[in-house]
Amino acid sequence: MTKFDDIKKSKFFEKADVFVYAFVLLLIVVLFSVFIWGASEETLTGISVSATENGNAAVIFTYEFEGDKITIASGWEERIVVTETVDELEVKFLFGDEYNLLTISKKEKTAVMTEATCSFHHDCTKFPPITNGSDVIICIPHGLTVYGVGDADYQPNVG
Amino acid sequence: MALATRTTSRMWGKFMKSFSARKMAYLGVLTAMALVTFAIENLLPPLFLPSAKMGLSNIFGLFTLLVFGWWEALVLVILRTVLGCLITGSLSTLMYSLPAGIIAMAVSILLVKTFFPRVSVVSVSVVAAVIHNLVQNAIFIMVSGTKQMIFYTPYLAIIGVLSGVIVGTAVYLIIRYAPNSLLRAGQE
Repeated sequence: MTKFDDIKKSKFFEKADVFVYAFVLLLIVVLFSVFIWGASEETLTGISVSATENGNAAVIFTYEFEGDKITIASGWEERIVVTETVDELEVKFLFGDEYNLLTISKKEKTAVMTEATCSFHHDCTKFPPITNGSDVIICIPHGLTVYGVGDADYQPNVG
Repeated sequence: MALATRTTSRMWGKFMKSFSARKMAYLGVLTAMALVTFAIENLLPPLFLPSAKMGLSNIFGLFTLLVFGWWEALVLVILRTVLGCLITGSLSTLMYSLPAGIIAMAVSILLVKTFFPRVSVVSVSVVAAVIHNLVQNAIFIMVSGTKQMIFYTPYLAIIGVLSGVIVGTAVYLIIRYAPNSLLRAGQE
């Protein structure tokens, strides 16, 4: 326990705080340099969605902007409903009575979780839109992860 | 074997003696207040990023650390996190909230034991909040296997600074204006 007088007489700002705040500031600058400013932006070439069921994760849906190609994994045809317009693709993932609605904009090359019936706050709908190959949207209650596929992920078919 | 049993029993007796009925009552009230704050905050929408919160229930953890001691504060953090996740039904978050809470409290203990009162309560709170967010995100990345979440780390550190300042200021004001009898409760 801390001495009573030390607690009662403690100030809002002490001189030694400068070192603590300098350390925190340095840490934030390093984090931004490594993860944000230093990260290479990968152009978004597609969207990949994986689902975790019974502890096993598997890719259940993919979309490629070039060629407008949709792939749905076998066994998921009944649980993934795709509604397509000229500019947009609405993909509804069904989990019993619950669902996630992913909207892919073909024109702007973005993907965003527009609706979900998962947690109280629908946290997955609060994720920023996927605009490049390193972005992700996660829905923990439904075990759904939406990945941006970038040009670095592109594997040309050889042969 | 007999020596080990005797030593353990002596340590347990000493530990139990340190908990007077009055102190237990104070700690019970503080834990309840932390839980209520945790539950109410859970109803509010996230800040800037998904699942990001101010962590206002940490006010009671830091207060307990300063007034009562490290052991009491650690127990409060564990109880608040486990019971809070049970009450709010967010059990999946327990696997990364609990280690993050314990590590952040360990850092606070280290700072308070080593540097307080040469450093302020606010700065201790800022460091603990930043560490809490970084650890939580690191565990989340490991558990979910989504390395892309690493890009949220710097933003979570900034949210940690914000929440640390708010929590630290609240603890500072409580300490300043709370009756001396409350602050002396931990000295018994």
